[in-house]
Amino acid sequence: MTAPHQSVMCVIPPYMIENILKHGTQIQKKRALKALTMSAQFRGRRQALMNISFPLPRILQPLKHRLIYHAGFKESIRGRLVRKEGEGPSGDPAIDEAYDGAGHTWDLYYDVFGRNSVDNKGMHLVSLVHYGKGYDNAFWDGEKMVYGDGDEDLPEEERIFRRFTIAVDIIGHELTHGVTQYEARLEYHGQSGALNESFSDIFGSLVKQRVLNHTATEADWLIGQGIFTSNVNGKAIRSMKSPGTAYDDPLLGKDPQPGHMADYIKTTSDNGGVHLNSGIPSRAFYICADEIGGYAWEKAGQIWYRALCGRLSAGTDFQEAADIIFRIAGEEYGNGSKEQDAVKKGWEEVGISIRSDKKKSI
Amino acid sequence: MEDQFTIRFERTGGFTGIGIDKTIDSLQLKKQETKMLKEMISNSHFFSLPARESMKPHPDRFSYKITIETRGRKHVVEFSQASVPPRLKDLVRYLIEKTRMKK
Repeated sequence: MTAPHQSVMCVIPPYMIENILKHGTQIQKKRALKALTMSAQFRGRRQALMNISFPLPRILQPLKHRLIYHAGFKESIRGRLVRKEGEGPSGDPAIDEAYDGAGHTWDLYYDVFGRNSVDNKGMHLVSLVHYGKGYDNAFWDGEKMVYGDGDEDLPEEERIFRRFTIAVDIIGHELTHGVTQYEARLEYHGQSGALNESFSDIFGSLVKQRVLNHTATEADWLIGQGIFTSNVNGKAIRSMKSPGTAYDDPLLGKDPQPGHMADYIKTTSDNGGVHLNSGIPSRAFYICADEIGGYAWEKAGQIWYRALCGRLSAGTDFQEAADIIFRIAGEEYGNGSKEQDAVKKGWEEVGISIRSDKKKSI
Repeated sequence: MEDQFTIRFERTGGFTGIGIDKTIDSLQLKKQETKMLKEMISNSHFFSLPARESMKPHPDRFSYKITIETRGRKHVVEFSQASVPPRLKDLVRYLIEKTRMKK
């Protein structure tokens, strides 16, 4: 009669069991583990389990996976795959900027916030470049980023916009719309829509600042720098530091963004001015980050990220956002901390006083 | 469709948030262009289109508003870039190109 396997295993010393766990067949490993567990239980030697290292099923590390498609200058959501993860530069600036920018954005979210891609589940980062002809825009379509070439089809002297992949913060901006879609789901109109836009500008700017290794003081806080051709009197599309000063051009007019609630724009256009009034919360972030000092993604970015993921909801307005972000700063760094004071200062300087009543804040 | 009409084309949204708001007056067009536009408007059955197509907003996408006014008639249609009414595609393509900002 053959003795039960575990009886035999019970008398085998732990180092032998470890060897079996490393080099045995699947059946041997299973029996060794069972025996080890029983042995530890019976003999009160649970420590044996903790001291032995043995191969566990491999846990996959999050990896970025970028796919770049060429739309063929058509306004089609389909395209031809032109570069995928691990492939070298294509030589086409739009393709390579979309690839690199998506990588820098993935890196910020993973390295700083521990987020695994847009959905936090390893979603592939899909970009579609060369979308349309004379298409002056970039957008997030719910699944991927889409970039136009600006006015690159016009004679140089008539051009206003360059290709929309040219600024890494635009790429970070579009991908952050994806993050918002999976997190706070801020409704895209009115103040919640302006917050949606502001979060995209904030994290887009943080991607750029991290690439350049700029502190909050060193950063330019511009969104879309380089998108205008030299025919335009403007340095960027928006300025988070000084909303309303990014451009002032005879054809385009003056940058209309407000930076204070006193100048809040009431309009039905652009889903209630989401690209206009975003200047207010964006400036609050800039003031907070500048007040804290150092790299903006380290503290201010963490506070705002926590707000976006789990604290803000679809209909959040500016006041609610300010109260929640203030509370998060207190949770993270302590009530009355320098960081919480910086958050308070940021919102107050754009005309929003923090309501300290807890019931109103959450 | 009368010979005299105006078309107001408004574009809002987009990543830049820089809008377009231009009005085309048929009296200022060449006869051939007016004829072509009249055909496009007729073929689209513009005056019987619903005022608002599905307008679920998408981040950074363009929104459009077209107002056509002719003797005794005025109609406004709004839609997003993601929901251009199929019958309006030719007219929208024409208006985008016609109103495109250039230096």
